[in-house]
Amino acid sequence: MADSRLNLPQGTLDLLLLRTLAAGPLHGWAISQRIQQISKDSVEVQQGSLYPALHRLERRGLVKAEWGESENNRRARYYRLTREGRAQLEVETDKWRRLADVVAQVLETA
Amino acid sequence: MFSSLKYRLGALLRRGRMEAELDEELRFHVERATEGHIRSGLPAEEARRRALLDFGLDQVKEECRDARGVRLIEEMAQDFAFGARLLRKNPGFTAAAALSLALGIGGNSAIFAVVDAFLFRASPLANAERLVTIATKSATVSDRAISYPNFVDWKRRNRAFEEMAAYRVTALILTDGAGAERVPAMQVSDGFFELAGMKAALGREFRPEEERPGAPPVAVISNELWQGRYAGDPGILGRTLNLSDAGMTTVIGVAPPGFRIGPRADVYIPLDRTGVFESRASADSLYGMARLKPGVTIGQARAQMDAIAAALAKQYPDANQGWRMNVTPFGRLRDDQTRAALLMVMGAVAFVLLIACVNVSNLLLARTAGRAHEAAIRKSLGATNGRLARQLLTESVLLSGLGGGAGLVIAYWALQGVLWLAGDLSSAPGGEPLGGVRIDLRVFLFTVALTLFAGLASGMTPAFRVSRRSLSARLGQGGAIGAGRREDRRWRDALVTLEMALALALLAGGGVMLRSLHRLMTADLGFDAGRLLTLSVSDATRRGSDESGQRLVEAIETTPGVEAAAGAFPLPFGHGWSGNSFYVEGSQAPQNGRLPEARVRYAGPHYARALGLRIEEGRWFTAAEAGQSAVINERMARAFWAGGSAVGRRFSLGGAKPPWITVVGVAANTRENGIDADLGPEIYMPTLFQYDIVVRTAGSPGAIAGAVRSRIRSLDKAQAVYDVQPMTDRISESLVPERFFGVIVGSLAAVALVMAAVGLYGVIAYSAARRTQEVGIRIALGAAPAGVAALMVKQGMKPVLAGIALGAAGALAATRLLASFLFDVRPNDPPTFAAVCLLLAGVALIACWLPARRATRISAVAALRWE
Repeated sequence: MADSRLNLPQGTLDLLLLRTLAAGPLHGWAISQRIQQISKDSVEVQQGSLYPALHRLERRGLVKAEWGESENNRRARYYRLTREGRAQLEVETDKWRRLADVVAQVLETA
Repeated sequence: MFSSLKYRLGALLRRGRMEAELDEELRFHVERATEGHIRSGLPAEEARRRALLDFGLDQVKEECRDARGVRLIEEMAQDFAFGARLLRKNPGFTAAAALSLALGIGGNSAIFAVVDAFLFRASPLANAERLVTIATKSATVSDRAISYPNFVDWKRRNRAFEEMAAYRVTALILTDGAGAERVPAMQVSDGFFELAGMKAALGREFRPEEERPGAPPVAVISNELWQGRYAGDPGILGRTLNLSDAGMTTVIGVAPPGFRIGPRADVYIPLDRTGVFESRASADSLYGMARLKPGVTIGQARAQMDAIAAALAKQYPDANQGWRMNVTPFGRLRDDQTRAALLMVMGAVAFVLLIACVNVSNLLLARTAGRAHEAAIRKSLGATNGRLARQLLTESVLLSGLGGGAGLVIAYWALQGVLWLAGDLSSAPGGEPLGGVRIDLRVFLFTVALTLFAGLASGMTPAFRVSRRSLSARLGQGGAIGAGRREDRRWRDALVTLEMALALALLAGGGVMLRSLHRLMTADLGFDAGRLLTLSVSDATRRGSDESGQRLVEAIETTPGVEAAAGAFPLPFGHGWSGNSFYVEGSQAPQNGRLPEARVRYAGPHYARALGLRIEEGRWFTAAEAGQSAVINERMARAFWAGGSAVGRRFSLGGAKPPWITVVGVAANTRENGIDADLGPEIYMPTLFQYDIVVRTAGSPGAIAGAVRSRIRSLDKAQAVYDVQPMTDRISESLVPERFFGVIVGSLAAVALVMAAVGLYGVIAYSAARRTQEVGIRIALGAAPAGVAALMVKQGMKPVLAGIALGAAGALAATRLLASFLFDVRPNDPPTFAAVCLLLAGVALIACWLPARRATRISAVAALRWE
């Protein structure tokens, strides 16, 4: 990848997905748009990697998928956070913050 | 955790719907992306192309399927479906392969059922895992009974057992209004019934005081005797039975139906520990039974008992020196010879399964070579080597599954055959295993495990090969002729070599065993066994006198159809044994004080005539010579009166002192002790009365048995007449073990031969079919068809001959283990080895030649059009 956009570190995609869904149910396309938007196009999320990740979250029971009507009146598959998903988001967020802090600290002082 | 499981289960069960939903979801995404591109000004066609390219639809689908976490199972299901389709498409191949495996698996299961029942399975008694048998053994005897005084000391000194009892297998003469009958019986010590878990179905068990000498005699009878002889009369309790040895005995209990702990017994009486049984050196048929304390292992018990035995041996060297303890799980076979033979058969039948696996392996390998093109295409479409290998393993496991299913049926019938061959199991060493011999859950599980093993074993080589073939070589060259082909052939040849080696080893083993059996069955007995009837008599008092004996034998002799009769102990091919040391008058007394030993047979005046003994020198003795004269066998005459005649010379029994016994005749050597018993010095001593009688008949001995029996009954109603049997039956029974093992190993060898031949035929036929094109070209270019066929046969026979050589070398080493089972045949018997090598080579030659000839008969044109 020749551009300046960042590749996501391993495992962070799940966290981003959970965070994105915290605001409310979204379908796959909307999730990809939202992530691009929020991250101001500075993160490269492979469109294709989104769905396997969502399906893995579904298998783990962190999200639940339902068919619904999209904004342009088409059938779309909406993902919603489950109670376990919400709890997991908190845990993961906390972990991520701590990790970021530690990394930042090391970078400053070392 | 649970939700994930539910998800996966849903993914498996609603696979079609999930695929459709995945399609729809991803299509929605691509459409939205396309719309985005259109909005930014791309033409519709280009927009869609870009969206698809960015997304990588197929890749994403695959990854989403992976994300479901059921990929492995899904693929296995696919493999199974694919494999099943393939097997259905080649019914001939499938049937041959499955039948091979079925024979291998079924044979193993049947033999395992027998071996398990005798050697491994716990008995069905309560607390069986803590029950042990206590016997003794020495350096040369693997299992011997115990003596009562030793038993008492062991019981007192050990800390390993919470309960210990002893039992003696015997027989009693039961006399009542219906006449005298000999019934199987058991003498049991205090605590025996408790150990065996027997609660009387009627009445009670023995009390400790009833075992004491002088206590009024009591008995517990079997349910079978109660029902059979006393019609289930509830008044049986308190009734007195006239039993030999015990006297008038009160019945105090009836055992539950089917109860036994070893050989069947109809009457149980308290243990007799008086008279000869007071001797520490006695070891008749008394065995100990004990229950380990919780937490004590059998190894600990053994160590403790050995320590006690060592102390007792020091204390009583005369009786106990050299005898160690033999503590084994209760009900387990203790006879080393039989155990070794059973394990040997287990090994032989394992060979058959190995041959079947190699067979199937090679057939699969040949087929995968033919399917190389398919494999190459699948690989280029993204299938991994592992996936291809797994596909092949799935196929072979499917095959072995079919084989295992059919194998269970074969096992059932094979077991019936084996049991038929074994005859009466109660005469097997240690008696019929408690719980019987049948296809039970353990055998079933063994079959399942074997099936899995066979599937994996036969699929291993093909799976390994298919994942090794290089992709380019396959696709580039039309799949028919490739670089991997030579290597394929090497593998194929290696498997053929292995198969032939295994088959030859089995053939050699079966060959020498059958030859030994043949020698046994045709051996010169030294007497005429045809038209000879044997029987035993006994009355409740067991006090036969010479006079009564003489009357009995005379009565038998005057029965129409009887030519001669004589008392004899031990009976030829009987269970008894009698021997003594002897001293030849005037010979040098041996320095170590040990006199030579001879078997001593007590025989009536007509014994030689009845048996048809050949008198080589002198004469047989008369009735008047008891205690003064004897006849000896040739072996003894040669060994101890070498160079001169033994007739007229004297010897003594039991020591170098009078009374002297004069040799009046020398009889030809016989095999009265059993065909394979070692020939040694034998002495015939005159006697008038014996419980056992041989009868020479004019016609068939079976036909006259009834007349003889009623003749004895009419003379003396108190005599129980039993074991009435033609001598040929006794001889036949004495050969049951040899016949059993010989026929089984021989049959296994035959199965191995057929399997090896069919396997070889299949492999050669397949490769011949695949070489049709090459054969066609050769013939078109002028090669003689016969020459081409010869070339193919030569190529086919090379690994066969290597296998035969390898197998012969292996068999030379392995058959040495058979030495102790063989009679008059060396384990490396050259004629047998030569014969089985030729047999296998001949059969292999035919198996090679048939398909080769067929291949060369196809016309060149047809061959060139082949592909």
